[in-house]
Amino acid sequence: MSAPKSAAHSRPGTFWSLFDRPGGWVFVAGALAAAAGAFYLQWLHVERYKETPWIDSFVLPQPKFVRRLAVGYDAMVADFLYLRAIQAFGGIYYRPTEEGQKYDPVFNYFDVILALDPHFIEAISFGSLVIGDEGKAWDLALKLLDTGQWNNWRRYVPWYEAAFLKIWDLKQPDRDARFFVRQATKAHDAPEWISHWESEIDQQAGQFTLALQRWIQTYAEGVAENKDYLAGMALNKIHPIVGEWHKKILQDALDKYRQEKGAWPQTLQQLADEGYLPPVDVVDPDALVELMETARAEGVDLRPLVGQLAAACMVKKSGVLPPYNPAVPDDRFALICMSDYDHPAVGLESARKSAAAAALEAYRAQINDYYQKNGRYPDSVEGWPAEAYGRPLCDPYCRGWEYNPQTGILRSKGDPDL
Amino acid sequence: MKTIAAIAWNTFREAVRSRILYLILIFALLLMASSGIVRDLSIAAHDRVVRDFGLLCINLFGLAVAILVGIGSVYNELDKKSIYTIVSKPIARWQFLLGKYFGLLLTIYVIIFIMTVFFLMVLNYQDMTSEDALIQMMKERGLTELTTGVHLRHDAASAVKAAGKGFLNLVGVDLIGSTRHITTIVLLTALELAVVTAFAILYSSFSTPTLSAIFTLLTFVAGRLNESIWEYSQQILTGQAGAGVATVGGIVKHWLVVLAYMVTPNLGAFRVNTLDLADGAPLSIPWFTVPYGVLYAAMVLSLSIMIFRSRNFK
Amino acid sequence: MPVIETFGLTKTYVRDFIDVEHGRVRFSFWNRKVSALRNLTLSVEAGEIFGLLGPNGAGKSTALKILMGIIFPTAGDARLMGRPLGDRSVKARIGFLPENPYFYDYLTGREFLNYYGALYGMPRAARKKKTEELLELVGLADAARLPLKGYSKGMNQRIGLAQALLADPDLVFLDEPQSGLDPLGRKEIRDIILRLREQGKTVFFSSHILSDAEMICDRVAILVKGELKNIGKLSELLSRRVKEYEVAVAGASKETVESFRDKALRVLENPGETMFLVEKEELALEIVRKVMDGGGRLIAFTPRRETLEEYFITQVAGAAASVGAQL
Repeated sequence: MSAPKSAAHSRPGTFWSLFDRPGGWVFVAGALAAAAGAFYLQWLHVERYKETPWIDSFVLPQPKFVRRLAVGYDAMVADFLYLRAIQAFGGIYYRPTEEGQKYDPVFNYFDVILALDPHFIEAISFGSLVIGDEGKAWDLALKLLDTGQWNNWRRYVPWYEAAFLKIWDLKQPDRDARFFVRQATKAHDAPEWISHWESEIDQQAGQFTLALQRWIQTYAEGVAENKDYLAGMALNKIHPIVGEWHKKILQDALDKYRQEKGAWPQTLQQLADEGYLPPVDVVDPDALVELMETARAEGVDLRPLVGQLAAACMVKKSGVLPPYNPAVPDDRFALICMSDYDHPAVGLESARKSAAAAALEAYRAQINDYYQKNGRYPDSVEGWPAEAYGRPLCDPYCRGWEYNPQTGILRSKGDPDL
Repeated sequence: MKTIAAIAWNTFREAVRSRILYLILIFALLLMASSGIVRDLSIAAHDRVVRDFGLLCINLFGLAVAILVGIGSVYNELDKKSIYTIVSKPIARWQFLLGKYFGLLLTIYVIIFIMTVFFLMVLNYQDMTSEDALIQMMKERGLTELTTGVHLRHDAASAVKAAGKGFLNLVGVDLIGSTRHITTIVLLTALELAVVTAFAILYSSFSTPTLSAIFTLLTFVAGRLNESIWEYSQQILTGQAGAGVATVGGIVKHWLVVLAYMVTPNLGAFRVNTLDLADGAPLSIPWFTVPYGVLYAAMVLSLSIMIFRSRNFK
Repeated sequence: MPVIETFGLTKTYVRDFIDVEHGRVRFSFWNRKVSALRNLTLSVEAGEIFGLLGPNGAGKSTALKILMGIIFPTAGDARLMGRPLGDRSVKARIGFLPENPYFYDYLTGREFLNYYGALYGMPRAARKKKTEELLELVGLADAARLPLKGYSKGMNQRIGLAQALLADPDLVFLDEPQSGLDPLGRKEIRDIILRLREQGKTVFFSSHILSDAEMICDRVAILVKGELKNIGKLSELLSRRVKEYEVAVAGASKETVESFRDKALRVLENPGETMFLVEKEELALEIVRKVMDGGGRLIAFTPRRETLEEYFITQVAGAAASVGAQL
């Protein structure tokens, strides 16, 4: 038998009994309104996030305090900070190249990681990358690496990173750079190629004969120990090193020209024509390579002869010397304007061409953009569009752009085909 | 001995039949299973990050069991007065306390064991399915590019294989890569928790659970910062030397801090040097690490027995 | 030789500075001592059922806890089976059921008894045998597989009794064994206690339910406010003198009833039945004779003695009066 049914009433204690009385309806409506309001306000938060860019703070207390806060979970906290650094610097959130950016907090951040775990090699690498390569705060980067070297002197990474900064970023071929390379070479886990970085230091220091000798040495050892890849690598290095040598001669002549005449030449050929490129002693790479290969073919042990080989191939050369670019065989040296028209430098012709192409592409996109917005083309492109698009791009050919404000067509005077 | 074992077994049974233990365990295992996320977040240092993450889980959840289960274990017997019937049985109070202690340790160690086995399996599974493994496989097959014939083996067979390798790792077989040293580190964690549990017993032998939990946690932190206490004592000395005057107050302060250093447990002793881990060298653990842990726990337990034996159970 | 001897047992608790009493926070900085038991001296002989009686808060549990080694006396001494308190060889021969016992509610009845058997150091086989035997005795054989969590209060009391009897003890301490039980449960406990006496064991129990004690105790001690008021055989404590007679008759004539109305202490009239309460035996007999002569029937003739309850009330009242006098 069912209980007497009253149409409007549900069983007490069930959810539906809530709707038995008008007050229940009001309550439910109120609850729904509250939920809707809360969700709406939550959505406003999202809008707010979109408006304000998220800036990550890297301010941490001093390392010793963080160490105490970590209560012995040091390595784990170091991991956490490392992961966070990766997300921040690897992502879009942190802009290290902004003007006036101070890198002291970032240095402290990595210093904290190293205080927590002094042997966190990956953090040392990443820290030097962020502070040095990205942030250009070289002193701080080297300071961080110094901490890393002190605690991990048997590992190659801290030495290698420091050598990298010195050689490739700072281009300072000094005793520090040599020391870093040698320490890295001595580490038990060092890869073989690190030792060859000393040759790069020699090149930067203008010691091209010495740089060549190191590779001849490597070649000789490679042959003696039957390491074909080593010998091959050494052979491939001869031409580029001589090319760098040539570049140095040209650059020196260029600087001398500017010093004496107070102006730049139009082309490198002009230097030769005006007598700034007299015959100089340079190693002939073709002769050297031939000599090395012949010696190998005839089974001559080159190791005692390393010092004499380069001298034997010394020849007098004058004029605009070739770069021996292995990627572009008929490449030549040329004048390039990278950041402004007042300081042309010696560079590869192929590099000049691709730089011009890239600059044109960027410029044309900007001009198009301008047209879309303003309905006309800009009046001039010299000094434009500094405000809207940052630094104006200069013509790598050092001749300025050819621009028609009516049609919006932009060309390079140096290479109209581009 | 038999009565201690009986009490220990009953303590273990109590823990195993309570919900809190399973909540902790499930949470820990879920966290470990998701350690792949941590791996993906990282650039380089993959092994290291995952290893540290897992070890952190084992340590923290072991600590959670020691505190959450350990504190209540003695107190509940007093609070619910089951101690009345225990005391009237032909056993001494120290036997009761030791039984409780070993029962708790058994519980903690079983939990740690499960977590460790699971963690080793996760590590092995990740090793097997990682990008490095993919590259290795491509090398073996002489491939330079990713082709359809090569894929990460996310399947049941890999899982079974990982489980098998995990068990082998546990007995010291094939401990290479990220699984190296893990068993040793876990054993040190077990030793650390033995000391912490002794403190949990000590505090709960005379105080309420909330206070005991706070005391135990504070002792744990103080023990972890033991090294800093020593540094502080040395700072006082160098500060005096720097000032050129040694005051009586300064000397007294120095020795008080040294005393604090001696009294607090040196839980840092149960950590391994990160240099060893980074270098892949054999771990350098001083011979007195294990005796220190055992003696310290014995000392704390003796103290709790002294307090417990003359207590009136109201 | 007495199995239990106490000499001037005294227990004084010291209150905490901050305490919760009757739901109120109470601060006490002086007068923190609370006397729970004062100078208790008694002895119990082997084979006795000894009742420690008194109202709530009289110190019964305190005395038991001291004897069990749960708390330590402030002063005085006690001996069980001739040995000092805490002697483990003695503990192996005693059983104890605390008041409102709690046992590990995650264990089943059988596991629980097995665990406690292990605490007694009983070998596995003996433990098993004894467990089954006791489960049968206390009537929990069917519930042995259930966890204690699901036990009712009476079942809890019974499993508690079972654990007290695990080691086949010579001396059993029971703290309020019958509290909270229904009449049937009380009777069962009583039967078990009586059976223990038949087996020659000594039972020492505390109670504030006097009717239970009255039926089974050989001797009792009465505690009021921590002090021993009286101790002795029940028959000695209670006067043997008959206080009054109850005569219940049927079919008594109106005149008969009226003739005794003034002489009797009280007369209760129900339809067809009359009850007289008289002081003297002669009068009672005269009533019976008169009623029988008038064709009536005798339903009941009850001489009433002083009960433990009444004795108890006078003792407590006396104590209260003396406390009042002291103040």
